[in-house]
Amino acid sequence: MSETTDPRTPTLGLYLKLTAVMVPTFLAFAGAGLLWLSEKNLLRSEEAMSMRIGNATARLGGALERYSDQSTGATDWTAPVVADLMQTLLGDPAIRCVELVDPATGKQLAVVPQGLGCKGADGALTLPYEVYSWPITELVTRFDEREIATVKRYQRDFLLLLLAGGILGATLANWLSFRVIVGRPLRRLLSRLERARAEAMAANEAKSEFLAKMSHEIRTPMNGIIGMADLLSETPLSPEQETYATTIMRSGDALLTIINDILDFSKIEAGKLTLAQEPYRLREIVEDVAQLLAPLASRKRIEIFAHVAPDLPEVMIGDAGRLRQVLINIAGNAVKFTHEGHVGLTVARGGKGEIVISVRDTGPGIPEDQQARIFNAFEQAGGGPAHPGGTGLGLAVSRQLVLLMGGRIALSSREGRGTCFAITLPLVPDSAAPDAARDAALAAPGAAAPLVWLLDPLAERRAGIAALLGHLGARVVSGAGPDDLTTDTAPDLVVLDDRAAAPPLAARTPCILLGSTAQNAPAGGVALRKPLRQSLFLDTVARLLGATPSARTGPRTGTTPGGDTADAPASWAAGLRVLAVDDNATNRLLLERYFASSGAEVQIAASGAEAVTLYTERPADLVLMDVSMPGMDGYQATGLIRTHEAAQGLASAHIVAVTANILDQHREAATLAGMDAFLGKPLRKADLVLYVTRLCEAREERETATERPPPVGLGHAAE
Amino acid sequence: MIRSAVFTLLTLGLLSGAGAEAQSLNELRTQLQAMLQRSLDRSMLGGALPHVDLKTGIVTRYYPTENHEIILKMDDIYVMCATLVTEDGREAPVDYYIAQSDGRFGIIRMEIDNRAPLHALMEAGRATRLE
Repeated sequence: MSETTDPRTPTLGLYLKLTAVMVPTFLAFAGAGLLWLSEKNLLRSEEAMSMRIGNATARLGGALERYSDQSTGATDWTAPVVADLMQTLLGDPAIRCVELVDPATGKQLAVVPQGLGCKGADGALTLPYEVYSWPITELVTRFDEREIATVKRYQRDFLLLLLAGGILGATLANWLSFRVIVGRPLRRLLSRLERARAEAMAANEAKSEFLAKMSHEIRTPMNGIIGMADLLSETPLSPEQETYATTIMRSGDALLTIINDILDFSKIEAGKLTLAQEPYRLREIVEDVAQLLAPLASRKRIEIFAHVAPDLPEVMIGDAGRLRQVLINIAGNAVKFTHEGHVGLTVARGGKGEIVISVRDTGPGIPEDQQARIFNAFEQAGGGPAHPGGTGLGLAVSRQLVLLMGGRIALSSREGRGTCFAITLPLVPDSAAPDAARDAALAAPGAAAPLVWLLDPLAERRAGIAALLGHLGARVVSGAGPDDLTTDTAPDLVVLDDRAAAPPLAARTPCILLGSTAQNAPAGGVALRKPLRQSLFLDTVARLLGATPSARTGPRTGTTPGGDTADAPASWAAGLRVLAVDDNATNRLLLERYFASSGAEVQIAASGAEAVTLYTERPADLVLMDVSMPGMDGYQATGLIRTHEAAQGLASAHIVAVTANILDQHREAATLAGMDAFLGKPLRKADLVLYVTRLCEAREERETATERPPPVGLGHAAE
Repeated sequence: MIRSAVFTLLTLGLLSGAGAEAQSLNELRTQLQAMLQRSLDRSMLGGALPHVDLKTGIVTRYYPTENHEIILKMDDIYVMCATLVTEDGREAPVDYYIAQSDGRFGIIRMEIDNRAPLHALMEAGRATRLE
């Protein structure tokens, strides 16, 4: 039973809280009520006492008058009968003394109690009563309020007793009532909630499991479809056939995106998505995204560029993969929806401790009434016949990921004027990382700042490049064309976009030509492909200006998606012994074809047991191990291979899990089973070639310097 | 906390003020009660208060049974009550309207078995308890 269903704690805790409110309230109301009652009671006591004393005094006065009437001359107030009459008043506990006074002289004519008189009754209250005698005298009754004080004391004790008893009784009665009236329904409610929660969790688990299984089941045949289409595109094809093969691959990519979005959305909903906290180079990620989308942008004849403010830290801490996913999604949408103009990715400092990544396009914009729901799952702007399609999950996932990163995402758009997504993230610089990009100025110390002419019709990109060059000490004169230049001084360098008209230049002026397609380098200059990579651009600038190129190209962050998909070099796995394991015949054929003419010695196994047998007979350098297989699975086979290696003293093979199970738990399970890396299906040939090439490079480095630690980032690159 | 302290101080102040006022009130009450008793004593004929009904001409003899301790105040007029009983045992209230002059109290009006005027004054808030 969980803590929430403990039958005691909730009701007692609730009751104590209620009591903390109820008791002071009860005391205030009950106390005020009782005080009012006691005041009224006290009033009655005072009135009763006054009536008693008044009546008694008046009756005594009447008796004395009758006594006086019986006298023939002046009344003799010293007669014992007078004292006896006056004595009758002393039976009242409030009366202290009674005296008879001559009002003319103030002389005391008689007093009781006799002997004591009115001694000690100076502070007592007095009731003067005129006695119509001969001569007229005054009867003075002195009384005090001791009985009122006694009544007060009794009332106070009674009040306190009543309050204490009331609180105690009410507390007990309320507790019992509370247990019955609130406690039981509350416990039933908690039990129902607990059951509902358990059912919801079970349903969510089932959903996650279903999604994971579906993901695996879809990825396995997708591996065959995309892989075979990949291989097909390498064969001689007619233009029409090439179009079909390309369409198959693009459709496969689209389907994979959908599957990934659904999986991510499910994980975020279940709260199971965790973000990595590792160093990454933000500039490289932004440039990678621009590079990745450049072919599509080029086909649509739109410009794409990336610019990171030069004053930002070079290395930051965070989840590079997820940030790349967000940027690819948003920038990918921007390229898809933009039909003319450009898409720009810019990064600048935001508020204190924040960076803002802006993805701005010149597309058709998003109608105002659709902007509010653009980040909702399964919602898309537009949706007309010209809509490029999709599940509508991409932006929802992106938004959730940004929120998980502690950031926020904002949209501003005007129909016909384009759209801007602003992603604000916490700026977490990696203080341990050196900042290589900012240390090398373009001018030598003491030398004049070099003058750079920058001609680019795209104002935003021009501003970015100018800011970068200016930050490194260059004087920049920029414009959309030669007519905009405001100086006649000969430049030290010209940076010229291929869409801008060339200015008249001296023959020896170095020039960097920025082109969307492969361009012939100008005389004395260099041609660079757009979108620019900052490190390559700055090195080229520095070289042409005669400055020392700095080591601006530090270790790269992860893979470059699609960025390094150059044609596979021949013999890219020369001399490598490869054992490829997969229970699916299509995938086995695919792996066999992938390694054809790679120079590798390839063995193919159809099961875990066969893989172990083949490895025992002939150890391999690289094992591509499928995980989910009937009988002995990939984890068990890996375990047996590791055991065999240990027993025989063999060098450890590099075992890579190649699986359609790509969730985090599957990666962890692969690591625990003794595997070195993880590649998800569908496995493209380009990715395989890149991975194996890097592996071979690492092996060569290890062989040449055995004491050197293994290259950082190999395993990371595999992920 | 501050509110509680202020409330307590106000309450104590009111209570202490009420106590100081009660001293003089008790003296006043005893004087009024004594005056009423004297008045009753002096009004009785043969131990009874004869009363003539001016509409019917019937004379009724009322005997005092008890004075009431509650005293009402209406501006400068005090109202005191007593219960009378007829020979046939019927109870009738009597209300005395008392005024003060030169330190002496005197009955200025008496209503026997006619409570309606006093009730009207009480309901109108004119006659309130002396406290």
